[in-house]
Amino acid sequence: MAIEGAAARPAVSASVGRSARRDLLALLNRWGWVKVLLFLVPACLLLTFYLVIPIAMLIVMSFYRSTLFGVVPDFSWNNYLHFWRNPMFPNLLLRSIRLAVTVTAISLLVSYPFAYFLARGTRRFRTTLLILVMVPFWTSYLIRTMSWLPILGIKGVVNYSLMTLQIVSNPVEVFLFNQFSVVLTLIHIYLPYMVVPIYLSLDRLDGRLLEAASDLGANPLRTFWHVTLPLSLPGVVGGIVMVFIAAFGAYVTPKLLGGSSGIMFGNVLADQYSGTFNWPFGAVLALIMIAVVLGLLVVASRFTRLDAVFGARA
Amino acid sequence: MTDGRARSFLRIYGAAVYVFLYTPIVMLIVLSFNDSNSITLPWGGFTWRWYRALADNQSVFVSLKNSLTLGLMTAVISTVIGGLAAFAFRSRFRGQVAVMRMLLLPFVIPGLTIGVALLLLFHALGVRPGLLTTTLVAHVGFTLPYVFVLISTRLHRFDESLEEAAMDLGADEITTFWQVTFPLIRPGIVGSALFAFTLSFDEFIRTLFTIGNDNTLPIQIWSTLGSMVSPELNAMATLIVAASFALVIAGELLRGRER
Repeated sequence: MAIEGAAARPAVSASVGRSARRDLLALLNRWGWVKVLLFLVPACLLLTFYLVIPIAMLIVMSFYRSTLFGVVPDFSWNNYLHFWRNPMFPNLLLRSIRLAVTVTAISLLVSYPFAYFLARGTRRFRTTLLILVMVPFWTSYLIRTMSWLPILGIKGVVNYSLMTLQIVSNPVEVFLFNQFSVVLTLIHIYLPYMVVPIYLSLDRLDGRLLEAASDLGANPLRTFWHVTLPLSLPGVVGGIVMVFIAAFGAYVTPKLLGGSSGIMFGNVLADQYSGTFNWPFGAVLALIMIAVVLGLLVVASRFTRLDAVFGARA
Repeated sequence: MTDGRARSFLRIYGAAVYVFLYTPIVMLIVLSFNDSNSITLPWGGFTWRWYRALADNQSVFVSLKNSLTLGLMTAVISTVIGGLAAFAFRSRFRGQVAVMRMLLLPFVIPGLTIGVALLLLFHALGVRPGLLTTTLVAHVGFTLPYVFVLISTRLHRFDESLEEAAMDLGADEITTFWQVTFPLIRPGIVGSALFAFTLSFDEFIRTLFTIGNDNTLPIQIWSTLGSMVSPELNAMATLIVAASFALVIAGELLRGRER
């Protein structure tokens, strides 16, 4: 639009505009970093407001004091002590980590052969099959969580089928509102997070290496153990990181399908902001959640280059 | 594992995983046409009743309009900001790795903690929570790393000799960009914008803590789930899933066309 506007104006100003543009370009060429800086400013500014300041605020808030009349600025470790003194909170943290580890482990066991199938067992329909894995990746986890309600409930599809087949006479309650339903649903929701990175690492694997291994006399199992598996490790680690973080940070799934036994860390964290309004303690819980995630990243980065896992190409 | 038995085992296994991935969604779609007041079986016959009820529900249209507006604005802003950042990464500069890590950091910070942290920030700044203020910031921040990675990947595959040719023929940088670079990467950029729109359209947890009294479709589903569960929800979910599927497939096709 700016160009059209310039064209409509008299020729003199157009040529002035053109030379100004040339000057600007010359300037940018001389100082290439100015261009880089200009291009990066909006993103950095946004991330400052989206990530840096909010997390700084969590840290500050975690030292404040919550009173009947609201939050009072303070510097005390009381909120942290409150977490350790009440065994309920550390236990909940451990249980949430255990649930997330269970989800991650089962997802890995399910996903590896599946990713192997996508990378080695498909040819003609590969693109379609891949898109079918990717689509749930991009669609609402709220809806995918909700979709288990009519299946697992007391009057749900599973119970209905069991009763129709006369396997049970009364509806079974074990399918919903417990840790089982939470684990099952989290696996269902986050499976693509595991499949995609493993698939990508298997797909990049050079087939000639496998041929070389078998030419040198390795049987398929040995080839898999010594060649395929080590080379797909970056994908495995990437998938573990993605699924663990998603499952550990879950809020919707345990809230909707967990009942009282399936409650997770995220639910208690959210309650500090929507139920009990203890913002300082909520900040402590949020920081603990972030610390667990960063700890996992540190461990994971010892096994593989994490930047590559998330698609970076620096 | 190249012999026939292993291959057919893998095929059956693959099919089973697809069944697991898609059964709940298919059930949801089927049940949205079920002529029964409960959200589950038994099957009471085919009906459009729940879609008609949805069409009569004024608040759904308000939420839909909000979700569309938010998604559109998020897609445009995020694509511009993320695209610029991706272009910056074509040249080498000091601190590149640090900036890259910061751009990717939102991928690994749980959305729930971002949601409550943003709540604190906006509260301290005295900004009243709202759709196109606080929630827009949350959504642009959420989609930015995705857009950045998608456009970077596209630029990485870009043949720079085409630009060099244009410059050798006398085009300046801006002309080269609009006449050569942009037309070639446009499908990739439109595809990324579609993904950003889809992500925003489906986003829930960051929205919940930043939206105040406004509603988006996911927020409305959430509050409906708390009060009454009716097959109307299945109908709403079916429409959202259908829209997401269409957008993602369109995005994939756009990005895949130039591979």
